Amino acid sequence: MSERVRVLVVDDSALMRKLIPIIIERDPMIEVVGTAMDGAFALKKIEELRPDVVTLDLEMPRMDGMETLRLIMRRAPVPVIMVSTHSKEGAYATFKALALGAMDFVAKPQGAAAGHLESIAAELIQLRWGGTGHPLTSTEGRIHHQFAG
Amino acid sequence: MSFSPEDRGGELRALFFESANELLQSLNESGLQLEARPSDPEVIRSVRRVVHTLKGDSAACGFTRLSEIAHELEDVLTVEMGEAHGARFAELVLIAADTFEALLSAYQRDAEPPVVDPLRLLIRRLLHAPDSVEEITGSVTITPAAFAWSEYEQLMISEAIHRGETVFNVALRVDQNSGMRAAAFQLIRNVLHGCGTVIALRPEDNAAAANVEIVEAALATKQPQSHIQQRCQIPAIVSQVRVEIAAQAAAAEHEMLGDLLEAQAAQVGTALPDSADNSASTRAGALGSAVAAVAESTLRVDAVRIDSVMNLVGELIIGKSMLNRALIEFDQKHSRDPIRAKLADALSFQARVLDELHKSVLKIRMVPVEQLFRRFPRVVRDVAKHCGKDVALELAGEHTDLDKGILDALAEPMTHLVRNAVDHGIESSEDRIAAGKGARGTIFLNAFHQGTQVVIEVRDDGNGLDLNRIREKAVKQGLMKAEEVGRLLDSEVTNLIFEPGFSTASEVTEVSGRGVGMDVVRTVLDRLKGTVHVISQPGKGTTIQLRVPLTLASIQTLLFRTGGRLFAVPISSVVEITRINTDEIHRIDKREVLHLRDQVLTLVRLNNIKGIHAVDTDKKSKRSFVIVIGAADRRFGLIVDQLVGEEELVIKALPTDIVASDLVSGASILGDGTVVLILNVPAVLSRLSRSIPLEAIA
Repeated sequence: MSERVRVLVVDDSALMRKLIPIIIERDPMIEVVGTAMDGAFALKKIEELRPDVVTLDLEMPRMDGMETLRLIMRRAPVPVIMVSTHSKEGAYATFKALALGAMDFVAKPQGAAAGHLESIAAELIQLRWGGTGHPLTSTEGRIHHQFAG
Repeated sequence: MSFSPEDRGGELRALFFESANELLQSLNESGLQLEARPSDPEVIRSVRRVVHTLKGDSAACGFTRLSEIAHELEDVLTVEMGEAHGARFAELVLIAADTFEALLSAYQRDAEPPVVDPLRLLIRRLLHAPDSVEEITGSVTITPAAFAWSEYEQLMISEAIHRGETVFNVALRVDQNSGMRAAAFQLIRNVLHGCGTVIALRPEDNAAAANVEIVEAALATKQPQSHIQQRCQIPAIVSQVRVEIAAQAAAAEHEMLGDLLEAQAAQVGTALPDSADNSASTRAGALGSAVAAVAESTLRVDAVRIDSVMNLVGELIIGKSMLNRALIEFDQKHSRDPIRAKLADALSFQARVLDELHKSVLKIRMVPVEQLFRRFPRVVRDVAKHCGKDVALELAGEHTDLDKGILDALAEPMTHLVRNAVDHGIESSEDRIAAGKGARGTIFLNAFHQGTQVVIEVRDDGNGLDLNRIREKAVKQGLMKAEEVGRLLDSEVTNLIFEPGFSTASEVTEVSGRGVGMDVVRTVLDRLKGTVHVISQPGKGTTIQLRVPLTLASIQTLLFRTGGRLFAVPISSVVEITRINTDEIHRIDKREVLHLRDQVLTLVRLNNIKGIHAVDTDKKSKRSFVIVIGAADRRFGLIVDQLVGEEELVIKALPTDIVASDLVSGASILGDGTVVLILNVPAVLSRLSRSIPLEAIA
């Protein structure tokens, strides 16, 4: 069991599709196997790549993060971590996403430090190793109200 | 691949600016769409998404001022606000685009970012604008009401629903004139408690209530909505009331996931304007997966990398002609050797593949003209508004492909042309009606392929160029003498507008008419090896045609030899080739001319042009070739000693310290190592038209 955790990064921002892999791949146990720019592509890539974990943006064109999450959980459940920018709807979204089966909710990197996104790297690994079972049972997972930061 | 942190930082920064500019563009487009169709919910949602992405990206790069103002703006970008404010909302989006642009350009130059107070003020004003009729019924907007309940509160709400109560989200705006805010808050709280069970309340206590403007609450009750509404209208304390149902009994999704939490999550969702239309998002989902089935994946590649591939392909093409030459020599020595045929086969195979490779690489650099055109709706709108004119813009041929480098270089001249067309070309509505035209002027942008060139047209249906005024101005500004101007053909007069310092605008306006612009157009087009052509029909309008090569990297040329030197001229500018006897050459006005099919053609000998040093031609040869070269509507004949043939040349730019003349635009290397100079046709033409004596200097 020495393979790395395979992650799919879903975000409509080209910058984030580049930045998030850079940050989380600082952990040698993580490998970003692909990126997708919206929900529709994400669903296709999940089928193709079979990632261990998916990071999902909330606001995307065509199919937003919530709808994508719903479909992922219905079709091919895989641990999903929501990655979002702080917004007014953040609180609802967190709650709704967790209800739909997301594992956790983290804020997008801020400023040059981009520190706290790194902290989820460890968690990504845990998710795979921990084998948390069916995603729907995991709604009691911690809510990181980091968007205020 | 490993990058040093600095490398990666720079790369990310570049990526940020690139995608930010795309986001800006789409913001501009959405703003214009909102002007045409105010409060289109789809457009508003897309604006919101764009601003949201911009906020996230800029926060990640540490551009705080941008991310903060984007954050403030995002909160106003709701469908309700769009409906409430219509045109002002569209204006807000456009002003936001301008503000973002200013910020981005400051960040890019590492300059101090400008203040964003005007935009902020506008946002605030929209937020607090008195809401016309609706506020009486209370159905619309106390916009900042977020109803952001905590997890615990949400749970309480769902339990209340299960008990069979109705939960209302209540928002009350505290009357700005009421002096004692804290007391007002206390009163409101009492009223709410009197209506039912208060599950959640914002602000939560009196301490925070001192400056409160909006009180939000979640109220579980068995009383009807109208009753709550009525109770909350506390005279002199509450100025607006909004009561909406926060959650009702199970929705379809409730069964689907069979989860208690799910029910309320869905309900919370419906309270949100963004995800309000659940059926729509499912439809979008179905559509999305259909699109995904035919999905093509796109890749963002730095243009520099493509250029380096392009350069290598260029070297390969030179290598190919070296091999060809070697094969010819081999052929002469060992024509019966069976290896010869094998070599020839291998070479032709390689040539075919190389040709495909070359085309594919060129294709990577090709982008649709749309990328250039899409900025103009905004330009036309702004300029038209500024000049008080009514102008529509029509686009055609947006899908025509063109080299990215050329397209980028065309942005500036095109902007000048479009501005000029609006400012000078189109008449005011009164003048148009007086001339029997529709009140609204139209500017057409069109692009199409023609041979190895791309033609881009800027056409207006205005009054056309005033040739007499151009003649006057040319004399006044000292560009030409009166008698010279009189002799010019109309088509030559129109070309005067491209002379440096020329402007027909009778007064200098902010938009155009500063005497720069049109000469910029020609300078850029010359650099691109393109041409500008003006067609003006008095009273009907002006068309300006820009012709540029498909790509700058390689060029199909005709090789010829003159004065012992090898030259090349772009095949696209060759009109015809003819053979003449030297006694057919006549002299008019100290110029050599040729009578060719009833037309007088000015002849040019390259060794006669100042700046090109070629060995003197053998004057005794009786017959020589004339290559007729045309650019725009002008023609001249080039007398050459020998035609060598057609060849695709990969252009190498020449450092200016090696070639001082602008008559040569570049050089290339043939397979045998010979250096070829590529003639700069527009430069030769402009020397001719500026009547610089050509026969000087041998």
